Amino acid sequence: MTTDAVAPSVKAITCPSCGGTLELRASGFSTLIVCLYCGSELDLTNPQVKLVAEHAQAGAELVLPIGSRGHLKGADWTVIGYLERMDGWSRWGEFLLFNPYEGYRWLIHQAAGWSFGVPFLIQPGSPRGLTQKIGNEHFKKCFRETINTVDYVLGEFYWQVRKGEQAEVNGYVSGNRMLSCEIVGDGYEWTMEEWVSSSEVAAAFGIEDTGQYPETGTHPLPHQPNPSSGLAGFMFTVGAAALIFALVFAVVFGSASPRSEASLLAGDTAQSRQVVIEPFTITGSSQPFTIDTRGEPGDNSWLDVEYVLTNMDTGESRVANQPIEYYYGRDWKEDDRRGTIKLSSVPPGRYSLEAEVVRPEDERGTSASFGSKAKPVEIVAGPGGIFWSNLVLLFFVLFAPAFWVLAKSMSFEAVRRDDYDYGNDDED
Amino acid sequence: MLSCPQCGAPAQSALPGLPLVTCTSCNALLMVDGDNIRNVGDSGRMPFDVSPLQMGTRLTVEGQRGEIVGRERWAWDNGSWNEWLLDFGGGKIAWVAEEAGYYMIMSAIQPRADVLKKLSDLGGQAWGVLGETVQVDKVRYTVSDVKKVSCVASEGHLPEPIGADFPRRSLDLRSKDGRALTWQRDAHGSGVWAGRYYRLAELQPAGLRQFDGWSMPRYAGAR
Repeated sequence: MTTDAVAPSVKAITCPSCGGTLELRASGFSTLIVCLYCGSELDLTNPQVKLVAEHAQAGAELVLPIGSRGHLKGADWTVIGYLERMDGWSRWGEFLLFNPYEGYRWLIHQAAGWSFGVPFLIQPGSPRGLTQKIGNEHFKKCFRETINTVDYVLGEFYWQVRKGEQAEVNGYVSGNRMLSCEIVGDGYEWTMEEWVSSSEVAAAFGIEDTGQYPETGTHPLPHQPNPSSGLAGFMFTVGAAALIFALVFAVVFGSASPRSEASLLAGDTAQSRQVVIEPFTITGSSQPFTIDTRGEPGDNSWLDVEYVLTNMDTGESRVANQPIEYYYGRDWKEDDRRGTIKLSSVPPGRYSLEAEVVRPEDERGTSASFGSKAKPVEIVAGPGGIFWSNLVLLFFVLFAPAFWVLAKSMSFEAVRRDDYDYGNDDED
Repeated sequence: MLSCPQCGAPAQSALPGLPLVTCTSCNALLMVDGDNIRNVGDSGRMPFDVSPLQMGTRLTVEGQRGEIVGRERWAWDNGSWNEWLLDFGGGKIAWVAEEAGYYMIMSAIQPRADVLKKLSDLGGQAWGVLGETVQVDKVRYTVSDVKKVSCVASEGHLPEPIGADFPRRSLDLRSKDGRALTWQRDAHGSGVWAGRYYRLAELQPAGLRQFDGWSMPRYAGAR
């Protein structure tokens, strides 16, 4: 026996003070309406509208006028009431929204931005505690309990709100949500407030974007999402993934190539000091070419191994040299008897590597040292090898922007916490 | 066919366990016993409201489907609210206390004698009971409200003759996890009701009232 008849959603009443016609949008739920024209307070508890107090308050120009319609957080809403509260530090507006199927919501407009509040019927814990727990979510208090005062009232409400009404307020934050508790006398009113961007509010109600921190206000709201923290996290994750990929790639593809060895006993004949190792074949793409050298230059002496890597097809060549040294004194020692040369980006092709050992005596061009002991030099060479310096460079390229965004994110938090009474570094 | 002894308009027959009906034309409160029908008072005039519930709306509570068959509207010093009667059939009923978007669904319980005594002691006091706690079936409830209420109007099928201006004393308690307990005493005796809050969407509603200028929520079923 349900009726399909469409019921009116608005009831017209006449203000007993100024005679203005008011539209009652939450009939049966609202208990008070403040006349939009004269500011008189009308009690709606009984079907007969009763004048509580006569005023001659001019209607304020509201960001969202009473009666505005909008679609926000999955439902349609009409603005039925507006009040302004202030504490010792600031002043803000609260719009009461109504939908006959969903009930009431709050849209709170502070200097730094907007929040969407849902009345919360469960009492999570002591309204004066330092933290609140809902499910597995911990909400932390950031400000000392404040007393706020209603300073302006317009439209419909579900309680007998009066200008001058005071409430003790405690707020608890977790992520982009703030659980707030207002204590008026013996009653507790819990509200779960979710931060909502000013552009979302503007789009929902078809108004101009009123802005949010950092464009407006001096501090971000305690539950305003840090615009950089998500990005910083994302960048670090991507950077780390890329670096790991690069490392694995370098290890797998960098050192798998075959390498050749040669041993020399660098003596007085030129032949003993020279060797040609060939061929090396580099296929596919360019690869680094690594030459490990190890030698015994003798005490307080040196050797220099000069290398020429020649492309056997094109004749193009690259030159490198590796000094081998061993020096010591009574209480010091410089041991450079081994070294590694890395030639980067050697294009594909067949290569030969010439090595020639130069001894101090060869340098001097004398033959005075005939009969000097032959000095062993061992060479291991081939394509492949990991360029650690490149990986370090890659690290900086990958993470520098992430660190920059992280710094931005931390400065946002610093400004936010600067305002806090709790969880701030400078205890007060 | 029954007719109202006061105005002669056709009257509905009684539902099992709900011997009262109200006359839709003259608001008389009628006691129906088979073919016997008598006027036992004035049900009062139900004021206009924008509740989405109406006679015939169907709701599901803990897997059980019921239908709204009656309503009482109660008032206290600072406001008023609807108590909808949800009939599951077979004499099983629940009351749905409406709080704009929230629905507290309450079923009668029979607590132990000591609990009953504590509740009636608390309910009898006018002040100083807020914050007192009572444990019922391992759930700890805190007193949130104690007040004198009176019926504004009633309509539809009802279990007791409650009409305009019928007075009642009531004590409301809440648990931390959203459960509620109500103790009531009036001319018909006293009772204890337990339940919890639901959002309308949780109740899989069908046959909701339609309003000019508002679209039905997506979760609403057809008639």
